[in-house]
Amino acid sequence: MSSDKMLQIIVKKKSSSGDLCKFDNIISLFTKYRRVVVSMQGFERREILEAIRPLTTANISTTLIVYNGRYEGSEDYDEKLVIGQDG
Amino acid sequence: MVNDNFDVVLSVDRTLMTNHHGKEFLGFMTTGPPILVPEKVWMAIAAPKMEVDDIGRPREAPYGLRKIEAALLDAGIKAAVIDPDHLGKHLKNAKVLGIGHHDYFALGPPSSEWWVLTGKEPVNARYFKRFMEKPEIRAAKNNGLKIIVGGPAAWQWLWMPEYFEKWGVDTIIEGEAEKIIVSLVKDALDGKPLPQYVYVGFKDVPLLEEIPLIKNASVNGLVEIMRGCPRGCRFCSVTLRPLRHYTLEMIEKELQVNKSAGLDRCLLHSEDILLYGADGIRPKPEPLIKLHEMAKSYFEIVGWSHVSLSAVKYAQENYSLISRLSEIVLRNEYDFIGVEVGIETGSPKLAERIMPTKAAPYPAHSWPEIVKEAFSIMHDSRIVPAATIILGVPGESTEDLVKTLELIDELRHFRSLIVPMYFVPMGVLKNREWYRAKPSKEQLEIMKACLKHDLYWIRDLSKWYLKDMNPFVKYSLRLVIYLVEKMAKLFHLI
Repeated sequence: MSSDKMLQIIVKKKSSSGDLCKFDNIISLFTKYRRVVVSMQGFERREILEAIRPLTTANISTTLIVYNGRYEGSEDYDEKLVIGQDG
Repeated sequence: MVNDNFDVVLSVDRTLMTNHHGKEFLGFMTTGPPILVPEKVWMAIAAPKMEVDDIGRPREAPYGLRKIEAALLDAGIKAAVIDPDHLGKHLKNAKVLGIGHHDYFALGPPSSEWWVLTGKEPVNARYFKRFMEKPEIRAAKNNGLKIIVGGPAAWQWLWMPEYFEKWGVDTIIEGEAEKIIVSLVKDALDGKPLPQYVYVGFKDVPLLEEIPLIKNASVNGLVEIMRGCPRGCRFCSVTLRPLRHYTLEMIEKELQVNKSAGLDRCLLHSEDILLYGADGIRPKPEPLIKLHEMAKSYFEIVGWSHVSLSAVKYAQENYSLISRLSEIVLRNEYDFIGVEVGIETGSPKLAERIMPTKAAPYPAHSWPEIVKEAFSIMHDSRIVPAATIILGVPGESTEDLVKTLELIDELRHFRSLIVPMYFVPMGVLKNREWYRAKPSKEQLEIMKACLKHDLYWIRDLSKWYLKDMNPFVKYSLRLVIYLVEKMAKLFHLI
């Protein structure tokens, strides 16, 4: 069961790699949070859909909100994670 | 004077914005391509146009859209469900178009099965594409309209990125949307950025008291009596939702909305009607009897959406409850109750693996016996099950399929319809030619056995089911049944 905590994830597309960030690598993290807000930066709209696909069979209980590009929400996040930064 | 300046328009294509002539089962025809008759005739039988008011609001609309409409109205947002033929003038002013669908791209069962068997795209996908290509939607999109899509088939957009981009869809919502839709729509109206995707988790689904009650009539008087299902079958997403039983007062309010709109029937909806007010998975007589007596006090025709076969057996064995409920609901000795049930498999081994508690409180390995007993009880109580069989679940063996075939044969003498559902694994959808995948020899044998079973019963059932329908639909449908029978004989399918 998830707590009431919120996680912000910023996913940056690596300029040096064609690899797409897929959520199947980080789904296990989600269970600790009530909501996960993801900001996917540098991706095509279709790439974001492709990244989300593993969720359709993952039976997650957490709310997931995915933005295309930078998202400056007013929410107070308990934790923050940045994925895919070059260097 | 009606205020018809809506900020949010909710709509869907004709295959869902219809009451199927008051016969829910005809809705299944919209999951297939036209067979042996032109598309127009097929659609006239399955999905006639809806009666609308002077500004294009349908008299009845899909329950899911009505729930979203209610959530928005409760939040003070100007929203309305609009018939797809009347979108033009409303989209000139609207800022958001909300769409809900059961099967946008015909990827779910049974549409996917029809597609595999016939090689033709089912009408639900055809009509949805035409809906999205409507000039009035394209023009509004070009003027900044936000498009939010949801409903049980929301997942399909993840596999159709080309359409997502082409039609400029802004947000996909998966899961129960009544709570989250309000903040999303407010953001859209305030010009704030919308997320591309929202998955509604366990803690963000509405609590019972947060579920909005419909404000306008639902298709065929459908009213929800509970949400979620405690059985935990591996192939079903409903089981991920928390279980909530509506109070009788909530149900009565929705019955009254439909009654006020002039509907003559109601359809009680739940994943398992018999678990309303139940003690876990054991049906209890009192809440069920009260519910049915209340529904019957408003409507002459009371229908069921789904029941589980183990609940049928338990309810009858312990309380003679199936007989008692059918006595409340049936209008006369010629009447029947139609209901969807899930057989899924005749294999005890597969049942134990994919649906270990579907048989509860009985052991999963006795599943075929439970199915037979439940069918026998329903036959005696004039309840007609429309049963599904799932083919192609991962790990299904030839032995499992043979057991299913044997079970179908043993159900021959119980008044029923059996529909095979061909399971298309999601991974296969990556391949654009997925629908060319062919069923195995044993799967085809099961499909033939179902066709044989259904043709055996369909003439008998159609006398009851079609008796109060308009002559065009009645005779067209009889013609389709006749042609299917002829073709089946010609190709030695039966």
